[in-house]
Amino acid sequence: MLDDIFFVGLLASTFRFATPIMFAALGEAVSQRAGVLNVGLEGIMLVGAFLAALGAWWTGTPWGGLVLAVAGGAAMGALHAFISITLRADQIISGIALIVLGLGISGYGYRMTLGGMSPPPSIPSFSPMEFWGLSDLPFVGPIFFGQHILVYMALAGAVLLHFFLYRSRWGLDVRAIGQSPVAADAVGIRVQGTRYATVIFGGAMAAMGGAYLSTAQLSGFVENMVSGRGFIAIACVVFGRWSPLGAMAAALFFGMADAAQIRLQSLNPDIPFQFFVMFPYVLAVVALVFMAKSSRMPAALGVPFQPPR
Amino acid sequence: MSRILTLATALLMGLMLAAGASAKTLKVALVLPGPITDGTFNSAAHKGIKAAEKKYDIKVSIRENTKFAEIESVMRNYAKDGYDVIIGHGFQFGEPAKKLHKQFPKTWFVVNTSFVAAAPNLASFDNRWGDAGYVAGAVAALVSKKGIIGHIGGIPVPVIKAYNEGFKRGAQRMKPGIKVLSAYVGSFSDVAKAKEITRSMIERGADVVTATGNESVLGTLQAAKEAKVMAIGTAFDSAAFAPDTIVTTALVKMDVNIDMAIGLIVKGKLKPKNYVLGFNENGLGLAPFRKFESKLSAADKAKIRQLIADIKAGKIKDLP
Repeated sequence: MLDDIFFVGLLASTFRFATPIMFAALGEAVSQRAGVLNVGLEGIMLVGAFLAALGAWWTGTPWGGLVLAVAGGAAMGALHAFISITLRADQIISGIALIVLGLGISGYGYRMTLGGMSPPPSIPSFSPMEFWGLSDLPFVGPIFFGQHILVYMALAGAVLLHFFLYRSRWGLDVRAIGQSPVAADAVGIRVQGTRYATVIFGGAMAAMGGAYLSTAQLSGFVENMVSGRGFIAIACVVFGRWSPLGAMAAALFFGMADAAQIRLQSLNPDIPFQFFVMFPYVLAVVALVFMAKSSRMPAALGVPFQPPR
Repeated sequence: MSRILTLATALLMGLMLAAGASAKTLKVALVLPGPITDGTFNSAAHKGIKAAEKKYDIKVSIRENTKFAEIESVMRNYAKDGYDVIIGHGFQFGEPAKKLHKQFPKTWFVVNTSFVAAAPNLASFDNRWGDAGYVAGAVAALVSKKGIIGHIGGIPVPVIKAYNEGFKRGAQRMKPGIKVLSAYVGSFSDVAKAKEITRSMIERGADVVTATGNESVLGTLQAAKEAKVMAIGTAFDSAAFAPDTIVTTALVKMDVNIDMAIGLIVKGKLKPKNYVLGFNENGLGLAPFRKFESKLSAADKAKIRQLIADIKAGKIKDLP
């Protein structure tokens, strides 16, 4: 049974599973590098998914949905930034509030708009890419050339962010703030402003992950559709040791584990399904055991900064 | 003067008491595991409670998206607020209801899709999901051209397992040797994962799929719609969502359960027992074929009608 159909399907599916998590994890990696933890990704992704569907329906193109989703995600990021940076409240509490807020806004908004329509409106969504026919190539075609454009944007984003964090002046500032905001402030880096920017960026990225779910992987919003991917994204940041390429690899790893388990499940009906469903999480725990020692958590993660004035 | 006042007060109080006794509006709480927009399990319950609201003198409160861990406290709060009826919609409400019902003897606890009835005030309603699956499997086998069909379940709670088993057996009855794939999402709400599972089955050659769960069912329908394969709906008739994809729906009439429960309570006739509803009790049904009416042969339609008649008559021996 482990034939070509299995492996092509598995690898193509890996990217689809990984992409929403990857977007959220990349944004979170940057904001955690600056010292701000946002556990509310789940709520932001939900709002992103809803706004993407709404915007796509409204403007008639999924790109319109993406713009609206990014704006909404940035707004939720700004709210988290205001509470945790300006008001210096507990970041975890603020993040949990975002989860509940996101669930409420997306569910209520959906029913006020798209959900109340009969028959259900059709949502314009991204079509898979074709790359001038390359997607028809045997084996590699569907895997590397037949994905939605957002998949390539996420992968390119990982590379660009890696370059930004480790090779640019701004990246150095971000990393310095996450290690020691006091020292960064002393050398003249704008701690609060930079933190604001990274948290807003993180919100926008999480919303893009949500947009992938509602306008690419599926077409249309469904309540609760994020289903825990926001939490997996936070785990990916840790496994990826707070680096964008690491977060990307972790997201692909989770994606592959899920793509494998759903396939193995229907091929092995005699093995209890729980074994397969827990498979990605068991791998996560094992990976954490081996990587815990070399953890590179930003020293000032979760600690609000009080400018010495 | 004071005597008149006393008399008036006494009269007024008497009137109020009389009014209270004659027309007591029942307070009914419906606690759902998912959103009312899922197009299947929760939509069916929502349809039922809305119909009951019109029919009976009741005041309804609906609590959606109730997570496993919240169930007990949500039900307890409704009971404390003096609700007369609390309906838990789903197998997972059974254990919390069992724990709570004796503490609130004035409240009726009703749990759908479970078997937990207990004196004096806990009743449960179950539909024969296995029979629904059996009929769905039979229809799927008859319309499949490639001889491969699949079921995508949310979480294997007893009713979903029964549906799964029925789906396999019903398909085998119509076409012995047909290949039936089956997998579970591990969540009632993960619509994207349900879609991926469905895609993987379609890659394997399945040309008819069916799904049980909450929002997850929408993922299967969407995958089927995109790949232009057929689907059999479950529980709630959502053919409008994909009219060229959904052959028919194996209806599980939650609205009948809810109407029956509330109707019996209003009459004071509900018993703390397990009510089981099948085709004979109007708890199950098969939606019209609509666009597929012309695509099914008369012989196949006759086979399906005969199968349902046989189930009603108790002639089918391998129902789960």
